Amino acid sequence: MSIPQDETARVKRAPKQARTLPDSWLCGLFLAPSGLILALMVFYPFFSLIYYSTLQFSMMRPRIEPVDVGLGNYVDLLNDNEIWQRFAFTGKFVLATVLIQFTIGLAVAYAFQRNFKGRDFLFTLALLPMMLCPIVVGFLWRYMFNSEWGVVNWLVSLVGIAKIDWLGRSENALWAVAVADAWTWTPFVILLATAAFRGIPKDIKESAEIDGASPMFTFFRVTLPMSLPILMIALLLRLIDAFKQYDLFLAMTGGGPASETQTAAFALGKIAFGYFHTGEASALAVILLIVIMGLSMIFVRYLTRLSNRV
Amino acid sequence: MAKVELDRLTVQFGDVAAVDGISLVLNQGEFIVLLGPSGCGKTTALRSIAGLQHASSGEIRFDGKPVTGLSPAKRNVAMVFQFVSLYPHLTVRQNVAFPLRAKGVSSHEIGKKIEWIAKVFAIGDILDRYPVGLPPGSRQKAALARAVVRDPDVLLLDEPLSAVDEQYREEMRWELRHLQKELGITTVHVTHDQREAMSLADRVVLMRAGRIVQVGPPAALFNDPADRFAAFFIGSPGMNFIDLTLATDGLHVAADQTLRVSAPNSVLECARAAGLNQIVLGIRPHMVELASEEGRGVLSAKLLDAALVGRDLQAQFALAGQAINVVLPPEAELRDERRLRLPPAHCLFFAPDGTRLGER
Repeated sequence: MSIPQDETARVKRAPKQARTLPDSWLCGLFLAPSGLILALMVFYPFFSLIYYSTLQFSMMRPRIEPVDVGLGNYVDLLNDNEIWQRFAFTGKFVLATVLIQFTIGLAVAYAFQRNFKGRDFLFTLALLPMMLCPIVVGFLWRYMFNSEWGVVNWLVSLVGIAKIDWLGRSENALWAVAVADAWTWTPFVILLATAAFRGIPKDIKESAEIDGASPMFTFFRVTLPMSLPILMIALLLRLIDAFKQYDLFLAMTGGGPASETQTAAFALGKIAFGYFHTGEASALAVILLIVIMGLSMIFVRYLTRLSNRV
Repeated sequence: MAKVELDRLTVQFGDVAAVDGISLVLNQGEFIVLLGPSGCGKTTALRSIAGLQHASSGEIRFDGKPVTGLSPAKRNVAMVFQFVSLYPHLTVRQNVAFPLRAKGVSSHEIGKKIEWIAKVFAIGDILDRYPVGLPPGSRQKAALARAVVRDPDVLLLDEPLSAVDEQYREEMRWELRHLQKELGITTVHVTHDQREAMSLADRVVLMRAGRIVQVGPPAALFNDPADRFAAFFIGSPGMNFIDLTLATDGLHVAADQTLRVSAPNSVLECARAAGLNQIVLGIRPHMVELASEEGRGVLSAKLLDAALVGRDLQAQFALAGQAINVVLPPEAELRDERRLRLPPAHCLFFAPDGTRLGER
């Protein structure tokens, strides 16, 4: 018996159709690994953190039953003068380091706009500090800032100024650590600013030249505003990172003298892994997170407004 | 407004001369169009006038004063670019004010200037908008306004209409020409679109491979092309070229001895003097006529295809194996075999290397 031609075709095609998944399933399947990782690595710790922040307990004493204190940890923290001082110090440090990073970073990126011999080599060289481990950077600068035999004081003595106690006084240490941080992260600003500056269409730069704008006028009225979306992202990332700065203070000052050079993140580390007040530390972590998220949201809103225009 | 002189201007890129020793005088208030295919050096020449391109040799003078070594800012030129020319982070008003602010003009003065220019270009309603949302036509209008707001000596336009949609381009062309006449600014416009060149220019400068092929009013370039390239480049559809053989008893179509063609004596003498036995006949598609009977200058051809394009009947014939484009009135009757008449008055003759033969 012979099967008609179209009949065989249908028989052959049928199992193939059965093997195809609906689009929504396929989508779900592709998203599943990332979803799983996100759930395990982000959502679980995040919600545990929030849960812990309402408890009074220490992970060093697991046998002692945690006490539910509600918002008690937050209330304690926000009434603690010491914590406010840590935040104030962090704020000052963030401003100082970001200011240095952007002043130098934008200036260097400006210079890198022009073509000159050895530019690419210099560019690579300039990016090196960023690749070093932060704790190494911390020790490196700690030695350089050593008041007795550090190279910084030696340089200072050449100008005829007496030795300065860089790391032993909080107002000096703030700047010393800011310099070390800026040394590490200015290359990042250079990298992004250079990319932003180079991304401006040639026609626009030439338009400005023909319109009779001086290089400075062009930089401040055209180059900088047009690079703003990228520069704002760089600024946001630098602010967040500086806000969380921990390693450099650990290596350079250890938070001292007393606790004067402890940033909020440093204080958090100390509460969590020095005193092992896990509940209180979790609450402080949540507060830090809220501050950073607030900061980010302001930036994102501003960025959206900017990119709608450009 | 200034008189602009280019004196043996040369721009070298490595071994290549993008602009190869061109000399040209642009009169005050004149609208000059640099026309040519891509890579002919027209944009490079424009950029040299702007000061964006360093001249390898030669001189550029504005009103007799050499400006060759000056930066763009010191030349008082204005330029409109092909695509992105407005600053995207500034409103149209701020864009137009930009060159004035760069020069340090007072805010009061800037306000007055903007009011004036907004009226001239009819852009009052878009002054406070950002360029990104505007149609290309309005954007280029704003760019033009920014260019002329500070009374430049020379206005340079680098294919400013190519980003504008076809349907608005026609209108913008008229507007551009009208504004240029009204403001009286010496203008150099670069384009590869011969129709744009013909409709805008007081004089067209046709360029090829860094050199000037022909300079003249649009009609002169159309009716009296300097060589085969000029004849081919200007006019649409392009000129037909038919290879001819020059025998002892006269001219005939190269591929078919029976198709005889007549030419003025001056052309024949010229060709014989140069020892040529091959020459090229050029005729515009609009000038070819259908003939009902045999006669002088009548050739039989085979119809390949025909299409009605607007009010023109465009047809393609095969003449001894060569394709000939013909534009006919719409009522013309077409049959497979037709006789084509090439009116002697409209025939041009070229040597194989492209030079014009006979009197111009």
